[in-house]
Amino acid sequence: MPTVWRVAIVAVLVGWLAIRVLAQSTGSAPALPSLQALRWEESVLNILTSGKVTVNTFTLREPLRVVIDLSPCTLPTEAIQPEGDAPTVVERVRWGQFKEDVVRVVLDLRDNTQYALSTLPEGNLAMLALGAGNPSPLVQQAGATPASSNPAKTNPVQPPAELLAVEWQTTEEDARLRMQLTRRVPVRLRPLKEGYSLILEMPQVKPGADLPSNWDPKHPLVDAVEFAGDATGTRSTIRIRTTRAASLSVEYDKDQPVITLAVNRPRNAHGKLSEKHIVIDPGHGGTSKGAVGRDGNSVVYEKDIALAIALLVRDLLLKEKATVTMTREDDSTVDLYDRPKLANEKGADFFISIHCDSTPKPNSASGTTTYFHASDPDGRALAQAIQKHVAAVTGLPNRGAQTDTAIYQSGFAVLRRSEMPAVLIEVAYINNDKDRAKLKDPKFQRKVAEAIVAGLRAYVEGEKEARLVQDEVQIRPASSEGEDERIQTPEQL
Amino acid sequence: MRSRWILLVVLLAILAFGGGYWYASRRPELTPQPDEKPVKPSVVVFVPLEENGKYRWEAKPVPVANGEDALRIALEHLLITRDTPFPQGTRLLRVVVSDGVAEVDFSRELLDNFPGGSTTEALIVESLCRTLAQFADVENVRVLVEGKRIDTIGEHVDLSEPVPVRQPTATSPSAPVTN
Repeated sequence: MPTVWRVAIVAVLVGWLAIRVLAQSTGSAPALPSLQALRWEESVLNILTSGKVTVNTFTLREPLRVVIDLSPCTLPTEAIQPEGDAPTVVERVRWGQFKEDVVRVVLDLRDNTQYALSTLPEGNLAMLALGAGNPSPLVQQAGATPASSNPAKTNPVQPPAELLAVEWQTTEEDARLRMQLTRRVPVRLRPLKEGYSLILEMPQVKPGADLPSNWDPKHPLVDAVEFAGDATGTRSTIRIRTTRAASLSVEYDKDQPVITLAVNRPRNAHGKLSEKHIVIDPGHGGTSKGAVGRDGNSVVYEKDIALAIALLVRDLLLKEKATVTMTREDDSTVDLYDRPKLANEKGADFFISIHCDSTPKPNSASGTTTYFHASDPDGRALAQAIQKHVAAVTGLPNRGAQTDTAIYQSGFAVLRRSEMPAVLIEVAYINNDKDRAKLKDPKFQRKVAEAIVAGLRAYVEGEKEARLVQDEVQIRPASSEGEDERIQTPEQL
Repeated sequence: MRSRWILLVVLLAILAFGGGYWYASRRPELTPQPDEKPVKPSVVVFVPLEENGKYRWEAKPVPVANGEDALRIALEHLLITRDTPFPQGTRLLRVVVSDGVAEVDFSRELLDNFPGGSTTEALIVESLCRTLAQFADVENVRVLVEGKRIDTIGEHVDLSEPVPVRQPTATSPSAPVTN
């Protein structure tokens, strides 16, 4: 029946047409995806949208900029702010509704840089990685976090905060520098390599008009304070040097834009070294050999060098009449988590872990590092004291006291789990020829052991020079009786 | 007779149009979107580059074809790419993401060929975390070797619990104060 066929064909055509018409209409009908967030993760800008968007990028010159077009996309009803710190190569980030259905994000660049765009199959996340030649900083330590639930974010439009006034509040035990700003900004405290020096970095801060020229609080804990104001507001700094290992911390006021830098005597830093209980932890041991150094056919293991130095430290401390607990005294296998556990159970005053480091490539690094956990102020003070003394005797580069979150944010197990001031000393690099030659030398091991004990003593009792001054003051009256007959003052003559 | 046929055609046409409309409105995902350009997704892996004894992180793009498992490809690439901090011969056995935790199972070369050093170990964990951080559904990572959970790779970094893959930045509101 040809007519029936004709009817069927027409019906199918009409049905298909209906589907096409509907497809056209539903394709443009739903609400467009909107821009949700711009988030910096190191050198990668994450662009989040509420739905699937197509991303196109290109560069423009004079000024140099990367343009990222998102389509179809609209701006959200609420204002967004970029999260995280932009890498230094990026001067600022701008964004806006470029066309009715196109959102444009522009990165103004200071320098030419390569970049790579990645998108997820879902289409709601685009990642723009700024590549080679970009001086992206290493991981920042997480300690300097504002207590507020709504901290200041990096905002290209916001002007820098102004440091309006500073005031020292001191007692016999501590010194506190109170700083009044125009708005809340995150700051970061970082130890410097030289002795007991730290730097307080204040990005987005510029100096106000009424700051004092002399910041010295005249406090026995504080040796020198130096403010370097940056009028452009990119980064102002305060360098502070203490007379001994001191515990420094930053406090953010909950209600107002006030930051306080507190300088205290650290935990367990009273009395004498002889009164203290120290846990010495030679790294690895037994089946865990640690890092391996090779000289032709001869092999040297980290576990053996760590033990040799640790035993010398033990003997020196026992000679000082201090109490010592060892996590191992021979080549036995000790569980990683049992090491800090032992120190916690003993209620020790200090935990000292001794290691040698190694890098992925031989001879790529050299020197001494002392690690403390995260931004623990007491651990940092102990690390500074030990690093100061050990780095002075190794004859190798001083890599400074460093947070164990310098590379990886969770830090080291033994430091994180120790309840007392704790450090992990990486004496030198076992996969560096020069460092390894020293590590194997018993004389070098002895020098390092003596320096570790000297650092511990400096933390507890203060630095030698400072102690001599104190001793003179204390000794004179006590010895004056005997000396009176022999030594006469000019007035008596 | 002819008019009855016309009526039948019109009725059938209305039925077909209505049926087609109903079908299309029920299944909008089947409607073709002719203007859509194919997006070629790609991911990045992060490797440390050493400069004067310090490390900076470089993002290396890895192409991923449509329909491929981007997470798996990124991790496989991370293990073999130039400048990888991972021990030689380490292979990816399995990766499963559930409830925000990526369980990444490596071959035993991760432990057997680990050359030692806290720096090397921290670089391995950090390159893994940074690479995983680009996947929105991954919050934490747990490292396994041949199907078994491990506490640490080289006795420095604590891996006994799943570790967060994202860095709490100083400006991020969710950043915890670590001490």
